[in-house]
Amino acid sequence: MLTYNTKTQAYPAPILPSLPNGLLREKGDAREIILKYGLPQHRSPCAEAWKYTSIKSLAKYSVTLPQKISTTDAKIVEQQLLESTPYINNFPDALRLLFIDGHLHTKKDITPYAGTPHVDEKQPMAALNIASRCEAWKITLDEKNPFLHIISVESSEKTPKKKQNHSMNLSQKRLRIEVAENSHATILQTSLNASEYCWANDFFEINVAQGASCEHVVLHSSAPNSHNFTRGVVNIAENGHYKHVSALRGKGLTRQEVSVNLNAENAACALHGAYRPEGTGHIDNSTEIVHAKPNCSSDALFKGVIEDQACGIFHGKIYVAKEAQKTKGFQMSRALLLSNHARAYHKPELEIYADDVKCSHGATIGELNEEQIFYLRARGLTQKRAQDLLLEAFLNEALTCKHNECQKTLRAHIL
Amino acid sequence: MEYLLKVEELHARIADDDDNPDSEHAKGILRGISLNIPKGEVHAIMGPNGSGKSTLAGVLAGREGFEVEGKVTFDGEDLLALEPEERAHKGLFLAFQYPIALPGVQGMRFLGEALDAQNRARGEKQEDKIKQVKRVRKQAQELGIDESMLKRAVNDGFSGGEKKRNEMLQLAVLKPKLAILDETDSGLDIDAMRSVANALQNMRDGERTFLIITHYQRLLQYIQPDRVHVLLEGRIIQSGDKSLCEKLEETGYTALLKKYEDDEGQVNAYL
Repeated sequence: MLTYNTKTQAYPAPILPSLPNGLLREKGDAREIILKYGLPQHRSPCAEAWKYTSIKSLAKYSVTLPQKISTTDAKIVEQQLLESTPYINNFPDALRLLFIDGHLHTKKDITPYAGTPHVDEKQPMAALNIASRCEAWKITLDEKNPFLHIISVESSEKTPKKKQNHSMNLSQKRLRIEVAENSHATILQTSLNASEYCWANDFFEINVAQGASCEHVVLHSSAPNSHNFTRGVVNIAENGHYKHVSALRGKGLTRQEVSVNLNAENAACALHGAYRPEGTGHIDNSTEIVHAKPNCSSDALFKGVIEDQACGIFHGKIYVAKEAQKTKGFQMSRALLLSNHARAYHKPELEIYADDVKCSHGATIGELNEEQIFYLRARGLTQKRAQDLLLEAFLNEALTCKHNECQKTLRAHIL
Repeated sequence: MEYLLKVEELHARIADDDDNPDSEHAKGILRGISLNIPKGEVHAIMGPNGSGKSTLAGVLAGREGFEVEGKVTFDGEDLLALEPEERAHKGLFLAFQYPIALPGVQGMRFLGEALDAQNRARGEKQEDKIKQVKRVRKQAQELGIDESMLKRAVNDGFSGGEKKRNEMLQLAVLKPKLAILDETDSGLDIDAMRSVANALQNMRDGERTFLIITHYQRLLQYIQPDRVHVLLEGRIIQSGDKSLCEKLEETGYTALLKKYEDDEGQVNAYL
């Protein structure tokens, strides 16, 4: 068992679940951060960034690390996955990476990666990931290999039966994706978390080289009592373009952080997402876009449909450095609450130091329009169908991507 | 005679509006309407602002928010017991006074959904999608509607005239037994009104039945109604043939109301 440094003055004592021996590396900034500050809590350095997503309850679990399952078992898991989500086979031209419990089960065109990405104290989950001895891989996408399909699953049956003892399976991975100069890449990321009491914590680093474009499509669904964290850090070079489209749903807790650095002129990014938490689900979209150089553009659009007692969060920031003149940065977040107990928190932020920019932000939270429903019912649609059609129309705006098959899958996943 | 629509002593008031029992609202918006429309006829309801015209249309189509009493029989069925969509399935159509915008719902998709829902409810075979699109396009053309309107989101950013024409297209495509037109002529210029009137005139085939609600007699000059009813303060105070609407144009509603009061001595005029 590790001993925590509790001698911090300004910050509260760290809250952390009991981590298994040997999980953390011996040294490094990330290790310092996670041990010093622990999970986000009131008054910790990340308190503001995690204001609406409390994960203190994670501390009551003892963490177990799932072992890599055998090749035969992996085949079974893969087979089950194909049966439950047949669309996975709709991408035969993609390079498929199958991760089970954070362990990679396909080894093609991919190399281990030993780098240590930068992390600060506002990102405790990323710090935990980087401080951990988990699998880390690096892959390059270019004309030859333009399409990557990352599949992450948890092998629920293989976890020990002692769940009553408040143990939780922690699966982590790190992936660094290089998009080569002037190439056009597509990343499809499917994480279907069907098992309860699992804690997934991934870190992605995507570097879009000069003149390259990358479309990153994320499909995610979470099981009740599961905790799912992803942090993606994207660096875009001159004339590079990155588009992120996510469709998140489920009854568990999910936090997706996307942080984009527009590091050179004429770089552009679009972060779009639709989310639908159900039951007591909780989905948190946190984005940060840094305009470091002039003539870059960014566009963030998130749309949520929140049911039952679920909670949806959008926390978005656009930062425009003094040097980044002629920046165009737009940010919009809309949510529909479908029940009296559903909640939404939106926090759009602009921090602008340049004086010649076009930036906007907006946030709306509302409910379905009764007049629209009556209009549709007066034309013969049932209440349910009318509602579904209006929700589809609402979410559609945030679900566009160039890759046809991905677009179909995105829509099928969330509508 | 067999009536397609039979309204008997229909009362309606805004639900949960009982703060002051002496208020005009508490007395109700519709105060005992009786109206019979035989199949295939065109009836018009005229009346001034606030007389209850749109409430009548809304109550017949199943709009929520009213406390309704009375009896309405539509094609042999108790209309008031049906949900709005069931009324549509039975063949009742309301052309909205203010058609609602549906951002993100494409016109053709909307019509397709409506057609499929109605076919399904009636136990009819689903129409082939390609045939359906072709048919709707043709009908749009006949109404002088540009095909591009079918690709736009329903009523989203439409002009007043476009919205009303779009309602006419829905009416033509859905082929209801009874169409209630709630002030379809309001807000239209003369050309647009003429094109709406022509569309209605073309649909008038002795089978379909229309209830046209309007302020003005202009639309009725194009469509000669079989019967005209005057609605005042939630009651039909006079019915007659089309000459009634010409008379109204001369005398105005106030004179008619005064005469009615003198005759009946029971309506509290507040005009």
